[in-house]
Amino acid sequence: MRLASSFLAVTVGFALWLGPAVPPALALSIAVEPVAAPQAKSDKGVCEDTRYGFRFKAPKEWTRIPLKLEEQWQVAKYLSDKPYFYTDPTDGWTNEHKPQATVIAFVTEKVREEAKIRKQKDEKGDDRYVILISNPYKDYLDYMKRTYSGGGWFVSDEKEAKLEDLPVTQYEIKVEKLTRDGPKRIICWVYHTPEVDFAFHWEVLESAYPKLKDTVYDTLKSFKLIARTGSGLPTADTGERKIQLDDYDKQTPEQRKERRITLEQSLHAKAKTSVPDGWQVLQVGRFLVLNHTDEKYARRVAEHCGVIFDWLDEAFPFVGPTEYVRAPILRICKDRDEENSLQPAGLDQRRQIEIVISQDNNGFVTGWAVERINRQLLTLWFSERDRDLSRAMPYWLREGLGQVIGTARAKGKKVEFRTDDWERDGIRELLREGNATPIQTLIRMGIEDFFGKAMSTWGGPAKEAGGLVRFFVTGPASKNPKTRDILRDYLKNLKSTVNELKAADEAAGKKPDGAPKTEKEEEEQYKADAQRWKQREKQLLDTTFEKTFRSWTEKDWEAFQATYLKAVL
Amino acid sequence: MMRHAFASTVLLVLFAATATADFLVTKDGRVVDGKKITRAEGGVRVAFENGEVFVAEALIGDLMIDGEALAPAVSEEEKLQAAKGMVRFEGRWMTPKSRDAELKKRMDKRLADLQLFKEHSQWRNRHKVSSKNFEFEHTLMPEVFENYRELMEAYFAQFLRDWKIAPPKGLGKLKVCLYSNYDDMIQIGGAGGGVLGYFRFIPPLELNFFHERLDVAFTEEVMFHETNHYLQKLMDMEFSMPHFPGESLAEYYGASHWDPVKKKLTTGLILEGRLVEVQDDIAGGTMMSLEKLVSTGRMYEHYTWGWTLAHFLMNDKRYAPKFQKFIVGLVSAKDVKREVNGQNLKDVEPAEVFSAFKRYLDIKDGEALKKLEEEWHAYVKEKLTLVTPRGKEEAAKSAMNTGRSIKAKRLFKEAIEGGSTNPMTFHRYAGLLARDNKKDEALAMWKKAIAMDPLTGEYYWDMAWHVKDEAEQKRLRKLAKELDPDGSYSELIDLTGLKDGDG
Repeated sequence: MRLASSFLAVTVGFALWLGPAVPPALALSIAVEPVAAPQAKSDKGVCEDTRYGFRFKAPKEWTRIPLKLEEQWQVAKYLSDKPYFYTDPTDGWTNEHKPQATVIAFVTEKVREEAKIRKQKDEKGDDRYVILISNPYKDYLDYMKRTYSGGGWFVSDEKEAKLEDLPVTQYEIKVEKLTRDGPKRIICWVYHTPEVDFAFHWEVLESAYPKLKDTVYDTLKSFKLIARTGSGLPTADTGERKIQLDDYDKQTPEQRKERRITLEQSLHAKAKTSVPDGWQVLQVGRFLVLNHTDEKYARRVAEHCGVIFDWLDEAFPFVGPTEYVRAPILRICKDRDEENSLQPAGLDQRRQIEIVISQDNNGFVTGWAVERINRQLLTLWFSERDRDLSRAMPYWLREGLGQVIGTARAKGKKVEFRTDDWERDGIRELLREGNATPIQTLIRMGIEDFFGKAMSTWGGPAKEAGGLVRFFVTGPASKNPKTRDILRDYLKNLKSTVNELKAADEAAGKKPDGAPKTEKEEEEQYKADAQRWKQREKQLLDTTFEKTFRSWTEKDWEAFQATYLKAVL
Repeated sequence: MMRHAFASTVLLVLFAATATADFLVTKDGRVVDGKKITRAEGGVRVAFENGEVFVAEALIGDLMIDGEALAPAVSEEEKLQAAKGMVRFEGRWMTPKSRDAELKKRMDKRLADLQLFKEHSQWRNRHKVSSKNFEFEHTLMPEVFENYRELMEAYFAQFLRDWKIAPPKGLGKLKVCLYSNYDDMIQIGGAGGGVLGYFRFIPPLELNFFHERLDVAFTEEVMFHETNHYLQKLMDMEFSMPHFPGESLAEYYGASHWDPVKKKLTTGLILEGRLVEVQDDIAGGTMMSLEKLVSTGRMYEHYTWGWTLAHFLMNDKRYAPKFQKFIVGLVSAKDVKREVNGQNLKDVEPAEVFSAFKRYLDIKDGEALKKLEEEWHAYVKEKLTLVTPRGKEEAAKSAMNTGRSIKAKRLFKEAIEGGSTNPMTFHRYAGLLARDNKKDEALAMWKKAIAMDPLTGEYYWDMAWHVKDEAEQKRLRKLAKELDPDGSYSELIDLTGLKDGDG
């Protein structure tokens, strides 16, 4: 296969690549302040939106689901209660799919505010740039081109028609190549009004289409315009996001705290207003819970999250002690399909504090849902307490902590760590096959070597990293006076190394500009730049290792390795 | 029918027999209609809302100008016949009414052909063409497509011959989906951003790639590469070739050339785009280890350094037969350990690939491995060189993208002096010159790019930033959006009219 960048998840084909991926360096943090999505109301089988001015007959045995905060051009969304199935004839796997219907509003040029950048002063007189992003899609087909990820698709039919006096473009789309869940049919009618185009988009499995087409067309035909009685056409607060670029490095902890609290309150308030009928809003400690499953499960999850945050506070009190960690929004969906449709996406995903899960059939203790929550909480906690430290964390520590926290479960006010079979069995296999990484090597391993080995050993280093951090957190190393504080010492030393490198960078940055004047100088600079990242990573790993383990003798390492092996075997 | 109409470069001159608008179809399949077209020296002028665009005759595949007058009678015979009310049409004298009727008939047919051509550009109306070994589905102009059909059949035959492969009985024809542009391939092929082509190796087998109108050689590289995966597959339909040597060999065969006159295919040429990437690695201080390359399961460098290794081994008489035996051995030799993977295909683990590589290449120990690595590295540094303007363009592009603008400018200049006909080269070079404040030189380069490819908005858009006159700047930007509303600039925010505090 041939690719233009990065590894590709095409698992059934050879693709052609053009170049490797280059990770972007983000200097500024982006905080998103979504505006509350306008919610259409459902009543007696009718979905009605008085702000946009439309109504239609809601499909029976379909559930209305809440809209994503960051996709406010969607104005109504339904998910079939009944799943449909497709069995792939090539591999015999059966996939489940729940049909979806979405109404998307495209405000026409006539009323659409253009995207603008404006410079403004905040209350303290600091400059801040505010970008207002309009609904980024020109029309329905543009929206499809830029958002659809269910497989290769093409418009198989397109007609102009009228529904009473309303002009309608009727699209039929087939999804045939490299499909997720199986070949699908998309039916979309776009109702044209002078101010807004409403696209009513339905996606069903091709094999289920004959059974569903009556429902689809009955609903499409029931669409009607009604008088707008709400607060007017939502041009300014629909399809727009307000993105503020804050330079956290220049802010004091107090300023950052204030800013985060404002954002947190704004996100919480807007999440509450976007909750549709049938969802429950709970405040459990600091956590806002939007719940569409049983309350007992939701409360248990939220309480668990509080315990995880407490554990992190207690385990690493020296990490950004004056920083404020925003309280996440936990959105607990009734099933996986609902969860998939509500996962945050796009530019602001990492900055969102919303965690979306669904009630896991495998239960609270053994299910994946809680493991995912734990990992997200860990990332959020470290990045808000100390962003530099979080970014500098070597892969063994990042992945190792993720593995260990992933298996944490609250029991009362305490945390219990479960055994991870994937990790334990993987380490044993690596040892058996002679592929295990010596601990000193693992701790000094750069990202390239980490992933290189992971590719050829089915994620071997990730399992080993989990095993090592677990050994420090809950294993014999947590009780031995020589090793019980090693993880904390390592983090402190990592932080001090980061600060030293930062200071060195700042000093170097003050040198006069050395832009190359000749091609030779340019090549030399290119070579130095190409090596800089690797050198910096090596410097970070080696210096932190040296600071943490400088008093260790070879004998100490041998003893440590022996105890570790005993613990994992 | 349509093929004949659009293959013709003869420009018909028409009376105002009907009120139909003019149209122009470029040789690479772009259509301009609904715009007034007038003849000019060496081509035509197309009147867009934001200015006229000159299209050279060499770029025109088909043209119809509605209502254009015939030249006045000049010779004595013409004057005599004109006096009788007759006109000459294609060597015959006839009444204007008869001539107009004939012209209208032809024009109606060509408008119908244009409509058909436009319809076929939609995937739902795609062409379906069968050849000896392939079932093609495509949205290209038939003349453009024909080249790929011929190429793929020739390539198929030669590879089977060279590698002594007998296709399995009842194999059937491979479905090939060929798109008229990259966006269509990503959308309809479903592979996701970054993919330049793919071969689906589990049933139903299928090959997908696209036609890059500004770089046909690149399209051919992708086509040869992806087709090679299919040909590797024919060695054993139940076998999944490991990433190395699979991708490296596909890249080796990606650099092939088909001579349509001599009907000859040359394989194993220099893949200059990949060579540039390797040269960049070397310039950045990275040399690939032979052990790492061969023993790693999947890595991007299998396309770049892997290609150089395949090129080195295939071009050295001492190693070529051994390397070929190694590849065939992975598929079928008894001394190679295979496992069944998740797709129910036979596979070879990376460690086993490395072990087989050493065995088949007679590498007995670490010293022998080091010696081969040194030979390979020397070959890369000394024997593989950029030879064509296109190679220099690739190198210049890469230098530009990696912040080496001095080098990029030198290479763009050399590519242009070497006869580059790629308008993007002139466009990119112009951008670098403009950055150095060499505006006159930059504008001259943009004008050349526009002369070569007058219907691409990007050149007008970038040029606009360096034109002194404000009104002209605005006109050029508007023209860019008119020519290509979906160009890369279409989502940019035009801040020129925005004042502080707006919004």
